[in-house]
Amino acid sequence: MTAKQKHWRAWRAVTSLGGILLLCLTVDPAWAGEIENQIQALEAQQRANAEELERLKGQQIEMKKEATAAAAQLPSFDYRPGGGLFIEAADKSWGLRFRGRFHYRLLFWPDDQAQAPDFTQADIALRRIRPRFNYYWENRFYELDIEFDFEPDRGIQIQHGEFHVHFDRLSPFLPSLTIGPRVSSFFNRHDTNWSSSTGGLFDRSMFQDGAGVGAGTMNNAIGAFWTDVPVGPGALLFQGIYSNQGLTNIADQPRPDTDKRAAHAAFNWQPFVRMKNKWLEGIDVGVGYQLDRIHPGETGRNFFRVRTTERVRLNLINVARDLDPTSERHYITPGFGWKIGPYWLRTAFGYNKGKFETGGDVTGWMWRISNELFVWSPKGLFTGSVNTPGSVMLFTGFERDNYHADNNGLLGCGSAGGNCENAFASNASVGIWYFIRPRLSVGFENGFYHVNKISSTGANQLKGVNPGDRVTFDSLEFGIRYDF
Amino acid sequence: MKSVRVSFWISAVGCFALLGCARPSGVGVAGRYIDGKAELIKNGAGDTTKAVNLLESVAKDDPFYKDSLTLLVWAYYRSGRYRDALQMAQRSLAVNAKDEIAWIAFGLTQLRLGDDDAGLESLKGGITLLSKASKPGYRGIDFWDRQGSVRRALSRTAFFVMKGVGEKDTIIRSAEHLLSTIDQEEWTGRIEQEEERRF
Repeated sequence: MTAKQKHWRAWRAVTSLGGILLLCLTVDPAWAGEIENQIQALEAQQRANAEELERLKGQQIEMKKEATAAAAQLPSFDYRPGGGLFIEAADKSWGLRFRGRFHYRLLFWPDDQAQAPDFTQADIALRRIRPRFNYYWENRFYELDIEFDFEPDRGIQIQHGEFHVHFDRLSPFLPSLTIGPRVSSFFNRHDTNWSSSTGGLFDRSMFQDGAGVGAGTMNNAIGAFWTDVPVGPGALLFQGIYSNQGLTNIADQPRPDTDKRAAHAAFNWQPFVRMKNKWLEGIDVGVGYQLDRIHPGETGRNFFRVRTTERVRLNLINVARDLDPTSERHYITPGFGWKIGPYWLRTAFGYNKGKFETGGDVTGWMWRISNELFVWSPKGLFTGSVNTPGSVMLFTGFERDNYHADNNGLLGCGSAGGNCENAFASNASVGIWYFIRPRLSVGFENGFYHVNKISSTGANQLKGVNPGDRVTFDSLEFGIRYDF
Repeated sequence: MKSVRVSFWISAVGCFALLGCARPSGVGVAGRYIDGKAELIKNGAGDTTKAVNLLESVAKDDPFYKDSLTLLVWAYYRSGRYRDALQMAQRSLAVNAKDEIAWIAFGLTQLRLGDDDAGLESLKGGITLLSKASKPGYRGIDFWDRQGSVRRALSRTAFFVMKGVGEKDTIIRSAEHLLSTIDQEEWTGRIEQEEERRF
């Protein structure tokens, strides 16, 4: 290559480079400007999006607040297994509770001693169907409690009818006042078997049943109740009730037409319930007392008798005479209980005295002891409760009732069909409950009855038995019970 | 006869007057405690200012009355007064270092004030204490937590607490729900217990 060619080539390279450089310099500003504009546009959009996002977040928070406030105003619906359905206003200004009880039995007489028509084998017998509702308002300051009892003959009775004003909501030392056609009364926790859906024994004591006390005796009544009053490390429950008519048929309530009043007082004390000591906290002691004047239209002898506890009601001890209009009855029952872990020891005593103007007095007394033990649940050995599905409870019970009536006042328990003055009866029972779900249980109870001198009424219900005979027999009862 | 008529009308007027009236206020320290607690149980529909005033008066007259200090912590917290809640929680725990509710409320307050690590530790302690205490007989209720709602709320809160401060908002909501559930369970359990005693 010549020098001239080399010079020309170099000049072309420089010119090309210069042209390219010139091109870049002239093109770059325009391209940079576009990019800048695009960036600015994107940034503006981003700012707009951020503002929109902030606005939406604010809206969302506002909507959440409104939803929370609205939800707070809605009533709550709460179903509690074994406790029923609660519907309540958010501010507790009103509330409703629906619940009920269902108990049914299947009865056998293994000795096949029964001869009366209502003593057939394998009887399916209704014990109770009782729907119940509570309506309360003003933070449960006022409460209406109504329970219906559906009778086997398809009739309906009021089992509980009470209107409460809970002054205890103002101070634990004030009572709640109650008035109603049937006011609840308790005697002690262990004579009434408290809640028959939580206790072991199938039914309440023969003595209490035969005395006609418990649900239904405080008719057209007014009472004051102190519940869980703190006393040192313990708590006290006390009630006092006055009844317009005492022991009488509920059908007579609209027009009692009697001056036969009744009065009732009871307390239950758990002296160490707040102590958090497992050996002491389960101790409770209580006593109940009731004074009744017998309504002249009532069969007074029906309040001094001993019958078997299942609903067929075999009569064991009866009083021979009716009560005269001046009669009065005193019923006292103390009780003691000790609960520790899965075990509950329950004892009760009773005293039932009829003071008659003629013919002398009638006096009965009893003692009762029962043991309840949860032997197994899905949580392990010796665990369980009435609210734990899969729990198994074993129970035993023993009751002894004595009656004395002056001047041969007990019916048909003497030799040769006459009356007698003293008789006793006892019942030993053993059984088991299995809890399928909270407060729904199935089980059986084997009862062993003994009466030293059976009444003539009872003798007529059994085969080959004479009045005044010493009789023993047993019953086998299967049951299903459900608090819903 | 005249006295019977007079007493009848007095009774009738008294009954109607009573039914027409709103519930009266509680009596004494115990009554103010009940009223204050009642406002806190009302699921967000209660008057927390009223609850604070009532419980402050209880704490002033008798600081050792039941768990009034712990309730006051919860009332301050619900009112948004977190500094006051923090101070009161420290007092409450000085009175009873094993108060599980006080520890949980203390932990919530610490979280709200930004002290996350301390708040989580307080919550863990409260949850541990509550898991031991929440059994039949808790708060005087024989059949406590019958349907397991407290147990579920407790498990949920414990789960999120173990996940750490990254779940702070969820932890706060769960713990608040836990305390509300305990209050509701006490309210309902007490109704059940009282009504079951009516034979």
